[in-house]
Amino acid sequence: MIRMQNISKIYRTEHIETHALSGFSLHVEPGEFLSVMGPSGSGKTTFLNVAGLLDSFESGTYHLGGEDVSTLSDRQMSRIRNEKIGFIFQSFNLIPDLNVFDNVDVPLRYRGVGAATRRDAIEEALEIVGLTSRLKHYPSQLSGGQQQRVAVARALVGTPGLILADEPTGNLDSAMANEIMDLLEKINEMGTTVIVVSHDPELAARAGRQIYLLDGRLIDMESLETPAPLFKPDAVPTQPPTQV
Amino acid sequence: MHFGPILRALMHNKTRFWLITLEVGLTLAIVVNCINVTLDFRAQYTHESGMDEANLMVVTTEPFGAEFKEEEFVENLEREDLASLRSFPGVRDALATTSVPISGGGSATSRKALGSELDSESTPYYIVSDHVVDTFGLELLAGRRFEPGDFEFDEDENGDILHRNVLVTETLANAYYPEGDALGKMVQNDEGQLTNTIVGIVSDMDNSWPTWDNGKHRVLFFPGQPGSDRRMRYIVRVDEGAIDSVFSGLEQRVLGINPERIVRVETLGEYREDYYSAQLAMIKMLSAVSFLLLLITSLGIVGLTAFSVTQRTRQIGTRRALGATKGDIVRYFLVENWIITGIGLILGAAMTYGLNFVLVSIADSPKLEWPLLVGGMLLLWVTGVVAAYVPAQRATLVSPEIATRSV
Repeated sequence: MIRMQNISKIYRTEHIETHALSGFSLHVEPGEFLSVMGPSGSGKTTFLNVAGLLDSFESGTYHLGGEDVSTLSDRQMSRIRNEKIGFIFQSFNLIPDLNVFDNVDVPLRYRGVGAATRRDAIEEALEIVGLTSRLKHYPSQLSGGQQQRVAVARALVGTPGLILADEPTGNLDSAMANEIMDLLEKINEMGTTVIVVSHDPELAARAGRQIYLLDGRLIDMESLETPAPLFKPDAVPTQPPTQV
Repeated sequence: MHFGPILRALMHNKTRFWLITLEVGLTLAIVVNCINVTLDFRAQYTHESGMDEANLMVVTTEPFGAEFKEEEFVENLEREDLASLRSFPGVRDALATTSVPISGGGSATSRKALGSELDSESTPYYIVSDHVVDTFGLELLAGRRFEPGDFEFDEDENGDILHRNVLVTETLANAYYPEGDALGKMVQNDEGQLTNTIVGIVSDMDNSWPTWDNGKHRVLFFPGQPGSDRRMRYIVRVDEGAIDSVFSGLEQRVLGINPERIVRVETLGEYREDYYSAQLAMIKMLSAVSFLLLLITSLGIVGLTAFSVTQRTRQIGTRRALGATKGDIVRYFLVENWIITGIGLILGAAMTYGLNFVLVSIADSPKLEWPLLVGGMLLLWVTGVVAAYVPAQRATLVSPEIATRSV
């Protein structure tokens, strides 16, 4: 599903260069459930942005679903984001002036799907997340957990092969967080590749595979004796990082 | 097209929506009515007077010599002036008159068909020398021009001329005799002791008050001797395009005949500008108001769209993440603007007719014709699109990765 080879991403300001991803390589099989962990600033979100074609990268190659997406135009990237990827964000990112139905409808409208097909798909997606009774509600009328479930419905309504979730439980209490993780597991069981970025080791552990990032590189956890310090802001690995 | 969701989203944020909609509607109502009044004033100002106006000049003399007290002296001088003016190089013809068309100053009397039981017709008139038809550049539609015999008449003990022949414009002739058979017939004043025979009917021309609707194109020409010890006035018609060359020489020409008078030479165009000065000022003011309102509304739309883009940066990023192209983003803001402007214009159309109804009732404004309203709606719609385009274009600069940024 994802094949990244030697990806580098550098953020430049007037005085400083930050290597957000450095020689980053990763291979994710179709149908995998992967969690990405690491301290703040380790490059998790940058990885997600690059993987989701939300941001460009300086060097390396990236194949998504067998297609080389390293040199696509902005328009082509929009099409791939729309058709192949579903996004779930930490802050839900629902559109406040649209009701639940219209929020879930957004990616389908950009795909140009007919009204009847859209309605069926939206109802089906909301059925999966258990919100069919809230079609006409606005985000402000929903709890955090419900809003994130709408966001999950929006991510899966277009039946993408890949769902990218950026701290999907970061703004939720533990009960709601578990509900969302249950949903992601359910979606994964339906055959969709799911990649979750999370700070929470307990939730991350529910993924089939976990990877760890530090300073823009993947860390081989097997080579570390105590992985716990990785999750402190000033954590420094006891051994030089190696690529997986 | 995302028309439905955009409309529903707008309706969810009613205050902002109705404020700008109302602004668009009010702008349409005021601008279209301003343009309506302006066009009416403009039509009045530029309408054809029926005379060879571009080639007409007015020479006004105000005597101060003692000999002007003698009627015979004035009569002779007027004849001499006319002969001299008519022979001036570039001059086609000239006449003496009591007052000047399109000047706002003149005289009117009452006349009706001889023996008619009906009310008299308002009859603006000029006492003129001969050469009326050719000096004003009119067409003789029926009958004849003045002849020397028309200038010979008797006065009664009160100085009234009991009967004389007259020329009238077509409109006035038809007002007296609606059957169109006025030529050769007589008209009378209310009491019936003053009568006139219509010996010629000329094409319509403006009288001294062209904006006076009931008196429009009504002119009666009395043959006579218009000059007096207070004022002697001449209308001079020059050859096509000769107005500048003749203008500078006329004053000296008249003073050369008799220097004991103040001479003023003006074009009839200058009289027209004076007469319509209030309308001209109003045209300028209403044009400025319309322009300013359009500018303010455009800026309002620019501001609204720019604010909307800034306020919805994360939303734009999210839409981009979900598959919107840059074109989709521009279209989103333009469609939003079209909806706001469109509803504003529909609302504004009703307000425009409402305002027009009030203006027609209380200010005698012209009735609004629908093509002008449609034109105004198109103008505002295009203004709205242009105003929204630049900030909408700016929205495409929002990167999709903003969707994953922490607030």
